[in-house]
Amino acid sequence: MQTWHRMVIILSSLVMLALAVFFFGLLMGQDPVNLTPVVTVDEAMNLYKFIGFTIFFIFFLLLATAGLSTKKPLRTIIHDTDLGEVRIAFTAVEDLALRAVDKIRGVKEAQVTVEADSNGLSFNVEIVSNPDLSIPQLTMDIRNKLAEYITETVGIPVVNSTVTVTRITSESRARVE
Amino acid sequence: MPEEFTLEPQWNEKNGSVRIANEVVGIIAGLAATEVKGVAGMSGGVVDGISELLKKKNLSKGVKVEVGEKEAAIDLYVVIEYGARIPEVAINIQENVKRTVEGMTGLKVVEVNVHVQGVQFHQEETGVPEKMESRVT
Repeated sequence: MQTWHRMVIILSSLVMLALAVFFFGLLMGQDPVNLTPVVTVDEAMNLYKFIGFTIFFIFFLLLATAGLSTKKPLRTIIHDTDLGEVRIAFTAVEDLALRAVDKIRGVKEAQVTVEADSNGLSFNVEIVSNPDLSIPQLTMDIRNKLAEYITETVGIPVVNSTVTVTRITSESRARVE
Repeated sequence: MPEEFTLEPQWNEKNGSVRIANEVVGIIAGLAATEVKGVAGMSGGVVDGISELLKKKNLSKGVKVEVGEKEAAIDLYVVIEYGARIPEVAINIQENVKRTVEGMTGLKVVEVNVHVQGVQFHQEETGVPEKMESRVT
């Protein structure tokens, strides 16, 4: 959702809240904005005041929930085929990439994010590595295996992989069980 | 009567008309998709980045169907098994669904869109990772 869409929804929800407060005030026998000379307020119309309050309050809740929602649309990679489209969720590609990276000797933990453009996929890999390893060799292994595996399973070339070693674990790996 | 059971006219015959419910087409498509090798199941949607794998009885929930008088367009939300080649599996799904739906309903399937929502990792894959392999016997 674009920022200005969100702003409009939140502003609309505030208008609904103001109307709900107004009707609630009337229901309680108050006139919060002194509209009594303009709007006829009949003590016998409590049901209508209650309905007005309920409707505007529900609108406020719905709009506020929509405006403040942080749910992002599912990003996908699109292949066109003769019979239609094949859409692969980024989360699925990230899971596969994480699996491929995690299997490489020397990688203790990993986090992977993916971006796509018209040329192919770009990966940003952050790893925690085991000690006593050649980091240039490890990062080269990660790049090569990731590119090979993703191109084979997803069918889209990997144009760029950035590997960042965020930490080197101090725990030594057990050599025997 | 719920909306999903609304019957669409398919063809008029001398003795009346035959109608096929959208949900029936959905179930046929769902079953045809799940029998393809490499498909773990239908997806019920993505929550917090994790795709919900539907049980067999909920097959039509991972399927959206638009049925016209003679044609149908189908959207399938699937979870793929780890190790499968996604483009290959997706094309197999499209072909199998088109063939099965056309064969069973007589509708012309004009579009089968496959949405890969997630990957299922098998139990054995989560067992002993390559990097933990023992180097001594």
